[in-house]
Amino acid sequence: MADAKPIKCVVWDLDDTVWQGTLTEGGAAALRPGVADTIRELDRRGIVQSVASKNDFAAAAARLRDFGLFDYFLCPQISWGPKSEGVRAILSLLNIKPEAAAFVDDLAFERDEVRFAEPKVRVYDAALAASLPALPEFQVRFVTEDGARRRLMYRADLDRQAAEARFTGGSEAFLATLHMRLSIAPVTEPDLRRVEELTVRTHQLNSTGYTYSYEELAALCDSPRHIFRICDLTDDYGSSGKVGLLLLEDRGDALRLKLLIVSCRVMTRGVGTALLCYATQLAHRLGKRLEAEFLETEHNRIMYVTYKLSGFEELEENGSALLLGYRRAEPLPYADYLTVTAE
Amino acid sequence: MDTRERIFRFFEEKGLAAGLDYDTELLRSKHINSLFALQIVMFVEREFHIRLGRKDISEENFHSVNAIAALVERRLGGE
Repeated sequence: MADAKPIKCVVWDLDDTVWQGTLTEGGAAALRPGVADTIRELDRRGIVQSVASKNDFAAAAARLRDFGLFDYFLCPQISWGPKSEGVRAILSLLNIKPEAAAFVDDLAFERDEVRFAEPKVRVYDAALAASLPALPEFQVRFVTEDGARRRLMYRADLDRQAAEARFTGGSEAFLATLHMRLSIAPVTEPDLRRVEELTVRTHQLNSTGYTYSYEELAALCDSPRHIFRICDLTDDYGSSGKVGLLLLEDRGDALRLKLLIVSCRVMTRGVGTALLCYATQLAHRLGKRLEAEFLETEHNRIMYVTYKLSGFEELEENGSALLLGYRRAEPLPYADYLTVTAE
Repeated sequence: MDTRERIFRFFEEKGLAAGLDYDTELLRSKHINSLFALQIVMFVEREFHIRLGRKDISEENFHSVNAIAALVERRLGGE
């Protein structure tokens, strides 16, 4: 397969894919060779995993527990419905785009069914299971602390979603119950791998899609002309890790936002807005105008809306490249549901 | 139900309608933050089957329920 765009999520079939034979026919006595190693290795790399299998949920879950694998799978979809529906449910719950997902099944029929419904999901024959970690699209340049903890953070996200579904007030009232703390700090060398990971992995909440090499990022940390910030989000469900990035270029009379990135995992929690608030407050304090570069892509419309409804107007337009300017006299205030600390 | 009422109902469903009327300033009040702004854009597109372009997404067009309704009606009117 030529497409090496990184895979963030792998959805597994069970019968004759994860284990040998068919559970309902008395099979599943043993795992298929190499599968457990693949699952553990992908997990270590921060690639999240789930299951879409036609089986009885309780029986299949019990067997996965016997093999010590159950906890590796987030929101497993085990039912008698079409697997494409299971895959869609998983991607929706985890907020992952189809083009970042893989589906592994031994049956060509099932692979085709998923591919027909979700053409952007990449499908793999179970025969390849043991060799998935060697394929280019499953490589991560670095295994970061946030990457290795990603499954646990996703699990906390799912708990939050479940709590939100039970909550009857408005979405901001719900956010207030989380007691979110956002800490904004200068990017330092130990953050760079995570910074690089965020720039490569994030498409929807990415204002420009600029990517920088590790060396360029290191130079930006020390640059007197740049303000480079990373933020960490924690709430009552636990830490979400380093979830946002802000790069401002000091152009004398103006600060210019070059990069505003927020991990899609925390999309609905107001982090992007908080980083924008921070930028407007910083510019206000320094007595400088605030500008923002925006490069329209297929995925980042959400960022455009955020800018436009937060007081930014177009200054220049060059095809999909825009320069926006903050036009309000006062900086944006932080939302009540978030406690922000900034160094 | 007219366009304004359909939009207003969305605010009610989100628990944000207390003290809200059709002319209330939305973007700088507690009724809407940018997080919610995204939801209202997506709601308008889904509810009225329109696709908002870059020029449609402005503070003028989203500053009140009335302004959003006017935008929707302009777009439904073929503009």
